[in-house]
Amino acid sequence: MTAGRTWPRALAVCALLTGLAAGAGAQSAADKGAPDDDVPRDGPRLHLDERGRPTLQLPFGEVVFRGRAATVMQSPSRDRGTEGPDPAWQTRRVQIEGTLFKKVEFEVSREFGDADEPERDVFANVRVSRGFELRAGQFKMPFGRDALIGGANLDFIFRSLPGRLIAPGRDIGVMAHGRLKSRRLTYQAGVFRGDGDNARTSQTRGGSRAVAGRLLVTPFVRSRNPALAAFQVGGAVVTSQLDDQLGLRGRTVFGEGVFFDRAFVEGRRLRRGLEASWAHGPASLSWEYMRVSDERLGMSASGDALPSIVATGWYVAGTWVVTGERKDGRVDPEHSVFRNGFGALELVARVEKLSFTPGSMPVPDPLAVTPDANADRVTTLGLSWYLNRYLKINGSAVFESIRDPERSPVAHDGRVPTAVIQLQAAI
Amino acid sequence: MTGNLSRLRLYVFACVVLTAAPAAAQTQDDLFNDAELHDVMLTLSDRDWSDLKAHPEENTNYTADLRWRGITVRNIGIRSRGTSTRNGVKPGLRLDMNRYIDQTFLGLRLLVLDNGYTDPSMMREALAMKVFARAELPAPREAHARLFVNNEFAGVYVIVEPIDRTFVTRVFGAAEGNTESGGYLYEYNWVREWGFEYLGPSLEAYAELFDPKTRETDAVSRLYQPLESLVRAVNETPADQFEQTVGALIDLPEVMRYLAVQRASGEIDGLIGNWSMSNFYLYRFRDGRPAQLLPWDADHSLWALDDPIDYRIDTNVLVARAMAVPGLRRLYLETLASTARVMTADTDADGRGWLEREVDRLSAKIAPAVVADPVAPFTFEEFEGNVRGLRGFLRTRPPYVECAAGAALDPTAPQSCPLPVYSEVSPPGPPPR
Repeated sequence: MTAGRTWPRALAVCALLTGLAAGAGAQSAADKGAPDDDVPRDGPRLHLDERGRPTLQLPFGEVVFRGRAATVMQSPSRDRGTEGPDPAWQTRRVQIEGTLFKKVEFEVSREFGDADEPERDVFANVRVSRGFELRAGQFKMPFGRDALIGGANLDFIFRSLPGRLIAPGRDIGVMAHGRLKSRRLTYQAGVFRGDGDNARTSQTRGGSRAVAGRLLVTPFVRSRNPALAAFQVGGAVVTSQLDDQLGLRGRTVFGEGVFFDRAFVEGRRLRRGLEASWAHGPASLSWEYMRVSDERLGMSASGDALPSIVATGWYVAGTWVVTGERKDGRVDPEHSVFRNGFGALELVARVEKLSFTPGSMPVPDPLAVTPDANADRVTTLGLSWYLNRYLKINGSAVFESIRDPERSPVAHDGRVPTAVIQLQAAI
Repeated sequence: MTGNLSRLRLYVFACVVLTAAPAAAQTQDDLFNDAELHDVMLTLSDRDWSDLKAHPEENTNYTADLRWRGITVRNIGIRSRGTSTRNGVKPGLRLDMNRYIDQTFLGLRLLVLDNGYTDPSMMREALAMKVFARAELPAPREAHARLFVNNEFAGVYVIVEPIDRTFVTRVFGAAEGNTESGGYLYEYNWVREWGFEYLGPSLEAYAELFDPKTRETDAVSRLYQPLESLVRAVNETPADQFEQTVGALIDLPEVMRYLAVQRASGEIDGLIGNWSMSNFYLYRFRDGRPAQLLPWDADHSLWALDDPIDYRIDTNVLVARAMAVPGLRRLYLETLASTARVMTADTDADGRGWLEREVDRLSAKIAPAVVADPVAPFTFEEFEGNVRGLRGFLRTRPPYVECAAGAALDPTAPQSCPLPVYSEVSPPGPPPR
């Protein structure tokens, strides 16, 4: 229904960002290390930083202006009610970040197009030392590698289902974090008011009073072999409180189907996650496993607990930059399309699964309604074309298979293949 | 130059990518506008449609596309519905918009197509809900439609607004309709004759009768304990505390008005129908306000021409005890009288009151479709006879109800109110075809 108004706006924003990005790309190399001599060195000065981002240099720090816009268009599907290509905004993000007095960092970002919760990151970070920093405000809770990657650095058009549906996302809290043992250990530990916006909707309030911790180990960080140095493993735990409220919901990749509906839960929500990642040269591999269990205390006819509802998810992902650029989040092409080059090409692949499994009771409670188990397995194959460091076109084939076809968008067999294209501009 | 060219290509790409369709501006009010006979189109595989009709007793969902006024909703679930009206010739249908896809149709998640299988006039349900609405009691909206399945006329149906979370949001507000923190909606499930007698402390007895339609997965005690408490209070509260104690749990004045509307309308399958309680929903508010009744499936209304105003009142504990409270008894009688007056209000030169004119308006609108209905369970002559019967009903029942209620309210009023006798009254103009 809103698509009619989406496309001209999308076009305008893409045009603006494309112009800015192309202009920035043209300027940034020339401007590097060449500050404007008309501005006093001790006064405010606007320039492009080494990544080409507009930066306001202040006597006591700097402020960086960033933004990101992306549209996605998926293949038409009669089963999903999409007659045409159905383009839609994926994100329209404006972000300001900076450093003040060398010790205080801050970030403010806002998502236009999310009327319910437009605020994204709003936090300040005080660096006491590398081993101890303190962050306060609204930011991503420390759980889930995929969930914690910035949107501009995602290898795929969409985060993994576990990263979107099981990982908590953002909330208001305070977190200590830092690096220890010569960067071998990275820790994050915090307390939060809620348990993340991924579990909240306009109709559900999510868990409360969350405590979260994440530990990453980079065992070979000092190795002379760079292929080993980038290997990282870790784990995370989040616990929160549920008070007669709806639990998690299993949605399909494109969000049009619900393969596991929310059920009322009460008690403790416990998220546990394991992760591993590796990147070297043009290639990267990552793996994650997460599990969340929602208690249902006192919910049976006898007043005893019903079995917890458990969701488990995992993914394995790999990427390879065909044109040879080094993989470091977003690929920075050696030869921009706007400088007579071809840009960079990256192949990406991911296999993932998200399962919901309500536990069973020795003697079923005849009055308690518990949704049946269900699972969604997804394989994604994609090709990303980085026109320059700011612009990316990503084409993916997403093969989705839902165990119970009756709770899938395609009732007859539960298989949902989709082609999708993303146009992303990010500075 | 090359850069500019590349940018131009990008814009062209974006133009191709970003295509869209215009938004429609229809609303639920348009769908339930009974000034017109709607055309509802369903498209599904012939095999699925045959299967649905071959097994009307099953609740199997089949995928279909719904089309109405240029709006198409793809991939909805449709299934057979109803209790005694289930059949394989003209199945009642339940359309589930978000069975497979998270979508709505004009904001509706569900839609009911009532086959009117026990009502030759095809109008009783819609007329009864109009009376509820006139009495300012929440009731489903309805409109008539011609149903086309795979472009073939499949009969005249009544589009019925389902009683669900969307309905609760419309009549009680968004907070009550909230998925997580809204109230508790139950459909009363007729399994045997039951007149609100206490069924004991076991919650299973209440779960059998009250089927939750919101918060279905909530704790068993939160779903059913309040129902057990309500029924126990209705049965065990001393008479002098009844209004205060039970009135805190269920809206007794609303029950009285609800019952009065049904009694004035000659409903035989309602709150105190011929088969005991039937065809209602119960709504418990999130904020603890007393629960309310919501009417459903009223195609046996405008039927009991000569039921006395207190007929079968003693068969229901809730009603009988409420009637023993003078203020509630008075409210019942006053609502009876006012409902009768509403039904006959603004009588025209032909002697037709408001509801009789509605009969004429609706029957004229649907008659051509009823004639052409290939699966109508009744003949057109039966339809016409029922229309005449409804007109006769509305000439005789409301005056009797008003007289009887007035007599009960005022001992000085005439005490003789003869029961009406069946009659048929022909429409003023030529019969519609």
